[in-house]
Amino acid sequence: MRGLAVFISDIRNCKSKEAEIKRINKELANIRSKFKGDKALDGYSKKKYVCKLLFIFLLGHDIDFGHMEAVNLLSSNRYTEKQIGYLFISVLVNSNSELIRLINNAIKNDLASRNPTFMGLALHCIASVGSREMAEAFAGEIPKVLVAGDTMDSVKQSAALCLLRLYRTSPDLVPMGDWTSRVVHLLNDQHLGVVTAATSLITTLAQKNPEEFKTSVSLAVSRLSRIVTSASTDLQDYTYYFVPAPWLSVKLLRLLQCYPPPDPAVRGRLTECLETILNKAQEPPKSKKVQHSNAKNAVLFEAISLIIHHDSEPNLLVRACNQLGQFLQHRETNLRYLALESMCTLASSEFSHEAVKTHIETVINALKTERDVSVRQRAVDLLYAMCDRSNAPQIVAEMLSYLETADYSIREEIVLKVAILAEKYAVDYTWYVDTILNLIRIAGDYVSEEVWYRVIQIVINRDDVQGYAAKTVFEALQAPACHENLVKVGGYILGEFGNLIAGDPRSSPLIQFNLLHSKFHLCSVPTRALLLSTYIKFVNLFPEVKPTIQDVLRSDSQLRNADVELQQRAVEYLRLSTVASTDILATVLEEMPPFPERESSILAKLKKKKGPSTVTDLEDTKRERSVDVNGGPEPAPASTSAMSTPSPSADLLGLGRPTARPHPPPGGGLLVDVFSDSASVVAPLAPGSEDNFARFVCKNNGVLFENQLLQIGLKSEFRQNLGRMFIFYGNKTSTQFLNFTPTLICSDDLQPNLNLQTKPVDPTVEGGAQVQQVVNIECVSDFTEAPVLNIQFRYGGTFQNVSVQLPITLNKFFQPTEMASQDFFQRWKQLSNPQQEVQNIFKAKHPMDTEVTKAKIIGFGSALLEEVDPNPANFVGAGIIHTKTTQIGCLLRLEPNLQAQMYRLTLRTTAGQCSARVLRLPAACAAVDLLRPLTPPAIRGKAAPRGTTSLCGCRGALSVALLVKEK
Amino acid sequence: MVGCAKREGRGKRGAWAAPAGVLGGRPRGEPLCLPSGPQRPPLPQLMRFMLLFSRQGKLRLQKWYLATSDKERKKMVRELMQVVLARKPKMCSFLEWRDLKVVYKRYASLYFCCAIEGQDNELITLELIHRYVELLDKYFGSVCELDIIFNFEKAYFILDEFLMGGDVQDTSKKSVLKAIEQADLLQEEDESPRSVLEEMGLA
Repeated sequence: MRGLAVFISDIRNCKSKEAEIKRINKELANIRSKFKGDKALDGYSKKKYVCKLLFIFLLGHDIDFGHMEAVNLLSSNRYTEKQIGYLFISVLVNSNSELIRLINNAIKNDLASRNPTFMGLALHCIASVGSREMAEAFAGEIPKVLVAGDTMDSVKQSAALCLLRLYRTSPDLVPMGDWTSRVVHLLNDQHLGVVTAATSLITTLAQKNPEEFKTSVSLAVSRLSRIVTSASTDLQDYTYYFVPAPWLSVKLLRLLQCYPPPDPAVRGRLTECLETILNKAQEPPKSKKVQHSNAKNAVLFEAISLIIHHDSEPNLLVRACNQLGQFLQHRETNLRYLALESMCTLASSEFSHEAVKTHIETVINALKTERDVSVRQRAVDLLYAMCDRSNAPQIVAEMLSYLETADYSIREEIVLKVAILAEKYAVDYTWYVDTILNLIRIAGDYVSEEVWYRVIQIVINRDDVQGYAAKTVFEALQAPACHENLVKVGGYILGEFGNLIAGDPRSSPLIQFNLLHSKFHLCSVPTRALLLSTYIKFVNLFPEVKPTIQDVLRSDSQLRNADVELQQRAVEYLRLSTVASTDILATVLEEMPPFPERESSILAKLKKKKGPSTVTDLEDTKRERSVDVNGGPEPAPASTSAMSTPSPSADLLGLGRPTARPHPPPGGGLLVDVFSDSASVVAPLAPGSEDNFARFVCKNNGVLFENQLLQIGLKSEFRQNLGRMFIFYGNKTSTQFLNFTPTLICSDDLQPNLNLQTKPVDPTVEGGAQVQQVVNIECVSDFTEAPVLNIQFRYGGTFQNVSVQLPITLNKFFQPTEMASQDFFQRWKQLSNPQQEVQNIFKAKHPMDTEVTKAKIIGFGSALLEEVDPNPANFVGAGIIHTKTTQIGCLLRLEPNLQAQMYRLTLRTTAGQCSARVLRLPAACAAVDLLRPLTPPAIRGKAAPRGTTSLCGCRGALSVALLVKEK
Repeated sequence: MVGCAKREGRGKRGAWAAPAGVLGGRPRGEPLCLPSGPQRPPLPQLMRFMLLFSRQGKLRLQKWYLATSDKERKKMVRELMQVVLARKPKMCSFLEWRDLKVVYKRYASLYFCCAIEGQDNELITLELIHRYVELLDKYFGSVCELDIIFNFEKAYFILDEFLMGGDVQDTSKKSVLKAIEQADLLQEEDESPRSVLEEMGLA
């Protein structure tokens, strides 16, 4: 095609970008006019122009025409035209459905043509476009082509890979059937090319249907065995630089990774293969070419992957580890990289963990000397993976020293890793505190909130380290320039535990205060807010500095600060310090209670950074080796709600839920709480409990909460407006719980509407024992929130505090009502007052399964009315909510929109104003999934009122301040 | 399933139960029976895309094996070229990029660059690139960048003959070249010689 070559030369000769664009535009105009022109173009010209368009596309320009011409070409009978047409379509995939139909037509013809070349082109096009429409059209046809006896080998290869591609994108459209067993036997095919293509297909299919493809295991093993034992010339053209069929070997080894170790007979054979592969690695190379060693090692690494995957032959695992150890010092960077990477996975096997550890010096050396950051990154990963109690101090120290010079791109990750390792393997918590402070010193900018939150959580939960922490931060703050994160940690810790070092004249209260205040003006607003809280805590801890602090708070720069948050704090703290008696101050500004157990927020962060897959198992594999930092249980199943939502204010407890600053309570209720049982504090809701809670909206029995120590089970029954709930507390440990006190807490809004009566339980729960508590429930009037169950007890010297929402929701008092279609819509129309209706539209979180939805509506308590709604896809329900004071009729209509994956929920109730309240229920209810977006966040905040007040470490200060103002 | 029983019996530590084990390690050995866990099972190699670009950052060939929007493609190409061109010789041929692993190799003035998934085999991908270069070399006779510029459609045909849907179709040099040669024969039969004037569209 001379015209094309001329055009390409023209472009290449353009002196400037502008000239090039000009030339291209000219050409585009020319092609457009040719395509639009009256004169029909011959195939050759069409081909030429389509090629030019392709070239222009490759240069990075958008091409928005020519598709029709391409379709014309691929429908041609001439091979070259067809080829170009297909090329254009597969490079410029267009989802234009009109076009796809035309293309599909041409493909159909080519598939039926029995011309292997044409069939190949058609299959290629299907694999390239791979859209659903194509899958719909051909997913049934291709398997037939694949297994037909008279199909040529080359077509079989294309068909296998094409089918694989369709299966990847639309597995539901590929029908399973007789052909699958015949596909498995392609592993025995004479033609190695066919085997190569088929193995990929089989692996993917076996992934989803392991049973159906089980026979592939022994076939794959024997094929592999034939390959690895063959002489290097046996396989002719499939031998690549003296390595027999490396691609096929890799694929077979990968197929075997879909299955557990096979039966003994096959297993012996496989072990032989793997040993042969390992042996070959030790033989002198048959060629000096890098291709030879690459291909050989590609197979070797895949074999090691399989060995790690099976994790059952200690002998092979250790050999693999030694082999990788050799590679760690290889002169090829690629091999060092891969060895570090593979060893990461080996480190998690119990058989090879120790063997991996022996290479620690080499890995540390790699960290220091590798010139390529991606290799250093692998070394960091491996150090993290091989870390355990025995080598943690060394590894943490090395990572810290590497951090000083580390590439900026990986610093944050290293910080997180160091923080996690330091916490996990700390025996001596002074070491932990030192490490984190070092971390802040070296890489303060990369220390995220999670890291410094965590050090504070740990210091607060461990009495033994508090004095040391106070002393250390005090010393660290002496540095003329310290990172703001250090000021935050220092401010917080001194505010809590400054008294522990105040005896020393070198760190007297005034000196502590002056030290902190000297940093104040250099800090950002959130840090200043935190420092103000520290100051008010000082007022309580050290009465002697009260006047100094009051002076600071009173100064214009605080009292009239342009920042509302700072100003408010200054005003309130000043007032608090002036008006409140020492007792009140001591109560309000009491030391923070221990933080409840939860997943380390740092780990959550790392998971977020690296994607969930990679971190979870670290947790699992290392759990046994880990220390419980807080001497307490592991957190309840990690839920996303445990992830931190960094808020602009220095918000330490806000790791789980949105904590609002406590606003003035409607009545004086909150205040009463603050004073009445000031010694105990309700823990924030346990992470994950919300999900559990939601599950109970539609059911009455089950496990409400579980951690490593405690299990809480529920059994409940409801009738009309009364109910009874049995709560079972199970001690999962072998040690007794002391001072076991479950408390039911109804918020002020809830109290008048819901009566709960129960008797206290025995304060001692023996190890392994279960105690039961009965709660009698009366629904007085409609309500929205759920009561909170707070449990406090001592376990092995540590104080445990768990709060969960008790699933008593309005819908429990629902009685289903059956009615006919006519009645339903008559009533529906009667309740047309806007007050009586609430509606919500939300996205489906889970597959929209009709049966599941039905079950949910029934579980919710209303009757499910079949054949009432003219649209069969909709769900309607009806019921009456019984309360002591009134009965509320309630009609419900749920309209799914499958296409948009949305639901619309409409509720109409007889008690106008309460519609909205009732609506929250289904919310909570199906909550589990469908209706979740409805759950008003406010419920959470209110349900645990005092859990939210710990913002800035100053419990209830605000409400007290307000009380004082009101006086 | 078989795997499940195994898992119970073994406790938590073994790679069988928690295969990836570690951060940054590739989650390769996933047992089948884990209920749709977050980890990706060892699917067969599937390349996401292949790019050929020059040292000056000019794209010479692109092949995408997963539907990607035009905008996203351009962005990825730009970004990746920058990353790869900034690397020094002797650095390792693999790098983590976005959620993918990039395997690249430079031949004279051309960079060959493949994006694979995290758990895929890097070395075999590197050799896949080499095999493609060998095929080009054999076909064009000591191939150079100009060959690929002027005969980009041929470069595509050879690639398509070798790879399909991101997977190796046939690794035999002979069979791939045979297919290409056959196609060329068909082409010659097809094409009647044309005059220069005709070629220029003047006839």
